[in-house]
Amino acid sequence: MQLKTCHLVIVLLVLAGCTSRTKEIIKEQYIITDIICDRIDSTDKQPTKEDLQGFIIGTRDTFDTLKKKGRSINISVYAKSVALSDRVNNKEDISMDELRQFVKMTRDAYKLILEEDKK
Amino acid sequence: MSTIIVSDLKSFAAKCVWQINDVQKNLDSILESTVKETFTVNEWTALWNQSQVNKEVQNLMSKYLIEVTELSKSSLQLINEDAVIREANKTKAIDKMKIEEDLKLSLKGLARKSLVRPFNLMDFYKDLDDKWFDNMISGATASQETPIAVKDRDGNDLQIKITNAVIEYMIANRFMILKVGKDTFKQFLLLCSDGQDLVALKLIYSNMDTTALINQYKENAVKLAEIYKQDQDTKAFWLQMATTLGGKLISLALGSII
Repeated sequence: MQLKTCHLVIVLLVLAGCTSRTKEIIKEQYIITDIICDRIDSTDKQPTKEDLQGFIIGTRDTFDTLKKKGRSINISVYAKSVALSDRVNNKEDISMDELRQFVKMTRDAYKLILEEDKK
Repeated sequence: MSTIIVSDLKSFAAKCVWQINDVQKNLDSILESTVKETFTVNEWTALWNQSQVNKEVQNLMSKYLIEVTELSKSSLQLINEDAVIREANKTKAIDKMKIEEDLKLSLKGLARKSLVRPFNLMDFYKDLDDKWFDNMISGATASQETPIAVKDRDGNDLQIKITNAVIEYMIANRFMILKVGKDTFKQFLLLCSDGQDLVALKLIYSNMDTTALINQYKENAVKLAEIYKQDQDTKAFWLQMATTLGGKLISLALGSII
């Protein structure tokens, strides 16, 4: 019985650790997106098309996992990330304006998730 | 031991002031028949003595050997010096990259610790001087005996102790903290202690170039998926445990009824 209790405690600790780490990662994703947004608007360290394509793939993977976890996410951003990443994989051309708009949408989506976490 | 470099020999032969056909011919034939890139003086002398040249030419070659050996020595010295300088520069560049990378990781680690347990280190360096780091460490250590009175964001009084983990971090990263500069580190701690963890994180990330940022972003997505998988595995494990336990309880209950 003691062994079972021990297992239960370990399971709870692991689950608690996972939740906290997930929150930290979402914070980091938000910060990175925020910096990319700033850089798009400035003349310094402007992201290249390849950088932004990498961003699309990263966003799709992040939102895929969040969706699986049952987190409420901005569906239009998720749908856009799926559509854009398919276009990246098919090597279709995506305009810089479209990419810029997507990064900004993603930042707002992360912000909403973080605000929800605070509640 | 001195070595004779074949490329030096060739170059010397081309510039040779005494263009005696026999010498040139023999030299060429020796150089063509060897795959070696260097000779010791003794090896070269033995090789040369075997060749078909008369005494006069051999005497000339002795002079030649001395000059070639000297030439090789100076070439070698230059090559070695150059290699040492290049190696030092390479190590320096690697060290710099490693320090910067470690610094980013350490600051990220500290940011995470701070998110869990906000603290206010700013009280330790109102009077920043050359010994600011030592003062900070001694102040942090003393706080374990006598907690420090600080105010939180809402102006409430708090008694805080700097945890061992944070002190250990500061000592372990002393060099890097000094390297990043007290102003940046001060700003970072100020943001952490004020609960502005997002801005503190931004301070760390904003130094990275865009491609590195995107790579970090993609890595985070992968980490998130791994955590989710781990989470699912744990839940499955627990479900299995609960089913086994439940099954056993039911069978025990049935057994006692029967």
